[in-house]
Amino acid sequence: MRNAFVLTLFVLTACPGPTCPAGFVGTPGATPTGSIVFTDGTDPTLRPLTSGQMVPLEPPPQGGYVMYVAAKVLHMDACVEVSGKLRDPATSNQVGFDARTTTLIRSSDGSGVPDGTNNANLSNLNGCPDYTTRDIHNQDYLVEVDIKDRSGRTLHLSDHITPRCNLSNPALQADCICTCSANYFLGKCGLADGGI
Amino acid sequence: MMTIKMPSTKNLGTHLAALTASCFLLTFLLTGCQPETVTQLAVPPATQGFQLHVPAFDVASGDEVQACYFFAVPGNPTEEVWVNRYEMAQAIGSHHMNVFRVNTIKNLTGVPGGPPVVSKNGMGECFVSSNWSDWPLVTNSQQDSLTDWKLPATVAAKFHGGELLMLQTHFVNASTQKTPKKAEVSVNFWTTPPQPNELGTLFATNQNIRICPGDTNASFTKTCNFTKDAVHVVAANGHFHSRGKLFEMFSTAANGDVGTKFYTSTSWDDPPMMRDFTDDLPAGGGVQWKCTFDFPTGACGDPNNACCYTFGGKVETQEHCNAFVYYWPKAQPADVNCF
Repeated sequence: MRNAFVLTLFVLTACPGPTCPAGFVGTPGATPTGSIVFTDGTDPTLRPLTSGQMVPLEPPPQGGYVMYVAAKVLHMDACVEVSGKLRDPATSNQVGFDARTTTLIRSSDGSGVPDGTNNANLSNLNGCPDYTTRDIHNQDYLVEVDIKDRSGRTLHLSDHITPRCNLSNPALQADCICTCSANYFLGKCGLADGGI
Repeated sequence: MMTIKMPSTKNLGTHLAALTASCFLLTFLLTGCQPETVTQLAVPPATQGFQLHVPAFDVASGDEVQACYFFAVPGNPTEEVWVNRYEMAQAIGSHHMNVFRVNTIKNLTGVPGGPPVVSKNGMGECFVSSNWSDWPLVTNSQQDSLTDWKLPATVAAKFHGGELLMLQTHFVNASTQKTPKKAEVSVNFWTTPPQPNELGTLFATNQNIRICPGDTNASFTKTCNFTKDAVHVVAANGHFHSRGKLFEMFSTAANGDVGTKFYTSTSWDDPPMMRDFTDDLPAGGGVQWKCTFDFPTGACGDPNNACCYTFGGKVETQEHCNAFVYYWPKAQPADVNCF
């Protein structure tokens, strides 16, 4: 009886997080693998990232501009933290970081991916406002995506990208380029935003 | 039961200074009494400061009222006004009080002493956060009653006469917070001769958070690297709503390495304004802020979004993950907002 109580207590306390509808993705014991994916923030389709890929900078509700990045993975638990980092390849300085917990869903090929229908499930990788001395918009950067599951498995991926303002609204586009250019300060883009 | 009556009309600052912490604590222990909430402050003499005051108003049961009041710093535009102490007093039920310097005008504006922009229950321009996205933070408090914040010696915030400020106050009288009496806010700016070190501010907000049914320990972490040279942190506080269980802030290095944790709060409705730090933010580095949430049993945030709680100012149904950090020297040429 006592052993059963201890076992129950252990099971209860050893469950560190929410239940994962997708359970485990892939083969337990196999080395985690994966690839970086991104969206444009409006179309939920997760697109594979190729080296040097242009990744759109999108406006969140309050201010700044972010990129939506994540990973498509195998051999990991579905309860993960996905983190995105943006680095200047010349200095290795980090210019953006966003991490969040999410639950992966199974894609048609059996791999695990975040649900792209909601941007909150992907890393909202920030880089703007750009307080550095180098433009974010239209320059070469390194993106790093780290996935950590609830059992401690980790996966690290990185590649070159080109963050780019690519918005159809001219006022938003002007604000994006201004906000994502070097040496930003509060009020710098005030005349360009057109009341967004 | 005896009530400690706080002096509430004249020379309050002096009286409070005289009431030592030990006396206050001893009285509390002996009587079990709570001090009366301070909502009004004596106006500083004109040569020593100025006051922003939000007159008492009602918050109806079930309502959240967010009101934006506009004030001008006294003096001529060519005149520098240095401030090294903020007294902030709020009635019970205050969710937050932020003061910003007005910058780019979008859809929220006002004139000094004119009518406030009053918004209710998440609707209206005083709730639309993009309206103040490039307005530098001046000071803030999330605590009921009095917060008396004195900046370190040699550090002060610099203003100019005539500079337009916006005081935003948010009172809640619903299920998560109550406003049992009238809402009211007073903020005293105590002036000082020019100081060698100018205070800088950081206002950082994570705009895409989502806490859904079944979530436990859902976390959202972001970094704002903004320093060119190292800066000294002097105060900080974090802001989220009732689903928040842990708010943390760390220093970060230029390469992103996470350093010292300098702020921890588990209080969503009365988070502390932590002060007297000894930590620095390194050159090229900045701040990482992390919010951890649990979804409440049987609750529903947005019924149109799978009952999840998402980004927004309405306390009852939305969530925030905002960091307020005060430091010196100020980043030139302006303060910092991060998203």
